[in-house]
Amino acid sequence: MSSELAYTTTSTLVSGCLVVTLPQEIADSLEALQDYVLERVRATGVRRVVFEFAAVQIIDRTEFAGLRALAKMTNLLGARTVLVGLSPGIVAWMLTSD
Amino acid sequence: MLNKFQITEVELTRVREVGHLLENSLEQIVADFYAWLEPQEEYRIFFGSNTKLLDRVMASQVANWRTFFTCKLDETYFASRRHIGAVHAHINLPNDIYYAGMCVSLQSILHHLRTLKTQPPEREKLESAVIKLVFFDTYLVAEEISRIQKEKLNVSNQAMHALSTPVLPVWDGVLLLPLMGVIDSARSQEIMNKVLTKISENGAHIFVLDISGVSIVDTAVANQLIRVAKATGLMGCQSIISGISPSIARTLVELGTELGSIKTTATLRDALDLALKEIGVARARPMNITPLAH
Repeated sequence: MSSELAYTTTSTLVSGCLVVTLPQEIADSLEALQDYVLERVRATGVRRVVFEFAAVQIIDRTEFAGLRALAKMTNLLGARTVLVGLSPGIVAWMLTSD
Repeated sequence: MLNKFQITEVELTRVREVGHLLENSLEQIVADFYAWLEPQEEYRIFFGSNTKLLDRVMASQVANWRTFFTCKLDETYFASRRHIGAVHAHINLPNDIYYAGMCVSLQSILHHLRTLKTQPPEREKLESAVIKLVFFDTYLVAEEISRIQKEKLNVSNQAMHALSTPVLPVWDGVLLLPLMGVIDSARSQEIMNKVLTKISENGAHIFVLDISGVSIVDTAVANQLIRVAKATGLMGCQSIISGISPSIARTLVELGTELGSIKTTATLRDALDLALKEIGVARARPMNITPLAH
């Protein structure tokens, strides 16, 4: 049973940029994750958001679609998004399945 | 119109006869009316502190009844009834007082007729003729009151309409529309027309549509607003939609709505920032992103 930490999303404000650290497991908390990020973007009024994938080792189609949608929603709020820390495994998966 | 009320020349003659019989009772009839009116709230409002007004009004009422009983249904008569209606509409007299008042006056007329020392022959026919004409007279006045009330409503509706779509030039070539309230299809058509007209008048290059004041943004509303933003593009004017809340952002993405070249921001401030950058207005300080809250 993974610890609570596996499900926690955190974010930090660094130099006018919101860095969102994605949890190891997204699973059912996708919508909560989206709400959390959008609320943080709205509250801080940042124009740049970085999604940190360092803790994510596996990701499935639904989760990825959800994160893609989240990036689009963040764009609509006027912020540009960057995905960082994608592991080689995930990148390979993205190339073959998308 | 007289046909509907079944008023013929014969009836008019009868009413004139009643007029002759009651010539001296007219002042009493008007006095009866004011006796009824006195305990009403409206009496206090209109006549409470102004006895000269009361005398004037009583005198003009006596005169009105005299013309009523002469039964000359010409343009002067109609105009005078419209005038009575206009006066009552402008003082905002509630309708119940007017109708009830006419009824009281009618009762008083009939009472005086019935208590005459020498009863006229065919009194019932005289009564029914008077009743018909009183109804007709009341109708003329009420019609004018209702016409004026409708007019007032129209004027205030138009004023509200004009306020509701303010397309403002906030900078050279930059237009701003801060939308408020409910957007239905009629309003969105009006928005489209007003925005495109203003763009062509102003030669604007940027149009900022702020929707933070719009109460409900569902799929229909979103589509309407995006249509407006795309239409401006056809006129060579770039659109920026600001006031996007997290829930609107979610709705738009889940719908898969294509925004194309329409830019969006969360705040009006950011939209104006973008707009000024687009038209090349230099800023005195470098751009600092400061968080609104942390």
